[in-house]
Amino acid sequence: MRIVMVTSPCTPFPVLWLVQFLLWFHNHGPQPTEAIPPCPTPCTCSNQASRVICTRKSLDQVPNSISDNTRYLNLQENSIQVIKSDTFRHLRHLEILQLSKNHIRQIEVGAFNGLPNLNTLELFDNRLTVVPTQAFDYLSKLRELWLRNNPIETLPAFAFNRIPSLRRLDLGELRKLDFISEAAFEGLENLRFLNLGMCGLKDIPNLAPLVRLEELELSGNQLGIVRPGSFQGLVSLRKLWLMHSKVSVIERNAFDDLKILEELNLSHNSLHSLPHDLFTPLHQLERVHLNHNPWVCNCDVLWLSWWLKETVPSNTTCCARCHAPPGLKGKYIGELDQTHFTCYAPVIVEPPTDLNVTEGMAAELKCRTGTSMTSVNWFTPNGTLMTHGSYRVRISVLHDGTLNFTNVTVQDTGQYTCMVTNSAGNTTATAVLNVSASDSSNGYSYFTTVTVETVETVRGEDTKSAGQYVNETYIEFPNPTVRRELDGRPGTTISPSLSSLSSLSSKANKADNSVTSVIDVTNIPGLDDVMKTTKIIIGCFVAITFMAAVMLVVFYKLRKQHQLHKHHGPARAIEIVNVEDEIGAGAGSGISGGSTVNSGTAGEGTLRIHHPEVINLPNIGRTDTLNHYYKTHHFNNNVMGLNIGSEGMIPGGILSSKNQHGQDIPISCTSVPISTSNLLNTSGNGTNSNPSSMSPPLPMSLPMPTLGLHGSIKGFMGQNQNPQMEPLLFKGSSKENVQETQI
Amino acid sequence: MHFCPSLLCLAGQLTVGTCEIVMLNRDSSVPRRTIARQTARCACRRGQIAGTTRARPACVDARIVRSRQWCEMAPCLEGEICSLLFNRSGWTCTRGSGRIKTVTPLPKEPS
Repeated sequence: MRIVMVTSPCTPFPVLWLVQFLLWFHNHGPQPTEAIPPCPTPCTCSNQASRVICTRKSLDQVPNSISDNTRYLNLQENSIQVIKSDTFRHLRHLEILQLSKNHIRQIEVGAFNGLPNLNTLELFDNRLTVVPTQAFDYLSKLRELWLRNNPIETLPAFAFNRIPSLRRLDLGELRKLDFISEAAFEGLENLRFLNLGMCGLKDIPNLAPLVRLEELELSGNQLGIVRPGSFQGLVSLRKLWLMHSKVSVIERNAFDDLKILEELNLSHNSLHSLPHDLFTPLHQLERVHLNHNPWVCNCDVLWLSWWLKETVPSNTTCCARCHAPPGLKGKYIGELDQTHFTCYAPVIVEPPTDLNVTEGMAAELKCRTGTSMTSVNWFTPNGTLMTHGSYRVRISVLHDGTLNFTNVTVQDTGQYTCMVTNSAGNTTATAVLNVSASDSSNGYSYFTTVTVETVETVRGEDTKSAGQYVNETYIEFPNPTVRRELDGRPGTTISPSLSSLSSLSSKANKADNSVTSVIDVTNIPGLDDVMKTTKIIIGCFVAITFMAAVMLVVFYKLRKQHQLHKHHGPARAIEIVNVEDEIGAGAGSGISGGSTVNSGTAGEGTLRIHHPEVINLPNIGRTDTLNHYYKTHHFNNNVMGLNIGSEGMIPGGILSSKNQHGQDIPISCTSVPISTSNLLNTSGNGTNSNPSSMSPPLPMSLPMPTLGLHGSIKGFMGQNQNPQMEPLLFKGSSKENVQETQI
Repeated sequence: MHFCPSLLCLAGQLTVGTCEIVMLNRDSSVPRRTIARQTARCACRRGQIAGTTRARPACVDARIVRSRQWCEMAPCLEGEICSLLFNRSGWTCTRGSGRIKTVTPLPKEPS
């Protein structure tokens, strides 16, 4: 393409170029694609540069130009001091990297970046003072890490956490090592071989994460005492070397965790004896090296002699020789037998004593023996066996045989037996631990709840949802008695609602009495109806009672006044006002409160009860008509009477047109068997002609307009009981009359 | 009557007077409604029994639980109003914001 583009301006030149190009291609074209990569200058390469060997070349840094194909890179015995970041980045095929015997004191973060296939990293015999943890990222296939003989001082927590693939870790000869973190070996779950030899260790570090460890080298340290729990977690350990470690005491049960140990090397230590039955839990143990220890041959090693004879009958003379007493010096332990000693069953020097403790306290049951070479077992009340080093949260057996409780509970109460065993037999001692719950009742109590929580955003729905809740809960956990009641009489007048409830409750009952699902009962229409009816009945009852009472009172008062003012015609209007005041004081807002005058019908003065709280004042403009009406008909009616008795006035014609609007309250009461309006009608004109007054209950608010009824009661009363009042009330067409209407 | 943080209640050891929740199932599948079933275990002093105080497990007077006068153990949080459910089968905690918690204790749990 380039050629074509160039051709157009000037032809001869490109043609020449093209020819040259073709010629070049002809000569060099069929070249082999795999060139032999260059070998770095001082090094020797083989296998097409996949093996690069640069030993003893006095290199002070890693040579550049190492081929990408390199699988094996040997840089041993140079003077490299620092491994820089990304030094080997391009060597993605590298499998073995040998950097040992250099002067490496620093390995930068990312020094081993880009080595996804590295499986062996040798860094021994260098000058590292720290584990280059940060450089181990992305070495996902690393299996062997050699750090032996570096002046490393500490093994920090998670030092090898980034290389969980590791199988072999050599940390031998870290002579400056003086601190190993509890979590130093965290993450090495695939480790098979660990060398911690010659590190000057005084204690065995926490090796619990090494669940697959098979061989452990701890020789050449200064352990002194090997305690139980030291090898906790090493369930796969097969070989343990503890030579030259100045071990003088191995405590009871020290090796109990090493269930599949096969080989144990305790040679070249300072052991006098081993606790009775130390190897009994090690069922796989078949090779024990005990030579070069100052064994004291007495009854305490007799068990070992037996064990050797039984386990390695072919080779009892191999290892351990007596160092003392002088008479047995040089004799093989495996050749001892009981005739050499007089053995006695163990003596419990300090047996346990009965203890009374309160819950939560610490407690100790002693079981001290004359020698620590016996074995001690504790039998607890629940039948478990406790030995030194066996792990319980609150209970442990100390090295001297003491059973130690850090915090007793009531459940610990019971008989504890300690059994001390040596080769001559065993001795037991028993004590009773009595734990009293000082101020607490026995055991625990439980409290199970089901909580249903809702958030209602609309405030208006609160009451509704609350009601709903009661339903739900009720259904979830039906009270047996209620259920029986409901099921017992399903056929009453209000049966629909109740039976629906009972069916729901039985449904819930089937669901095992601990239903967590909620049955949604948003509306039980039957129940609402029942409630409504009941309220109406109650309301009307109250109304009637009240009516009667007020009737009596007012009748009495009016009658009294009537008698007083019988002969004072002109002053009547004023007197009426007085009467009203009195009534107002007596019944107060109770009378007026319930009545509402619909302003639309106010021209006719029809009073209607709409709502208990609202009072609409009537338009007073046409009181004349009213007065006229009342006068003409000689209808002895207090205006209040219109509230309920409106039907009764149909003949008047003026009011009749508005009756349809004015029915609300009387109608609400008609649903009641003894309807107030009925009463009024009959007592009034008695026509009862308006069918709507007997109509079924209309939907209306339940809070009963009892106060409104008061008003009507007054009217009712005025109608019937007080015919003499008529002239008093309506004689003058003045404001006083109107005010009375309001009342 | 403090609540026992789980780390301090290792291996089922409860200090006297403390409680721990041993079972909790929560169902929030329905919007705006959470149903939780919870069992608390309490190590109570004599005369006390596991209950709920301020919406947390606590040792309460055994009398309260026996008489089912739940509100007497102050089961609701501050600012909530406790009211007994119908038939004393439980209680509700109502907050002004429209949050209603209805709690019903179940019959004794077979531990």
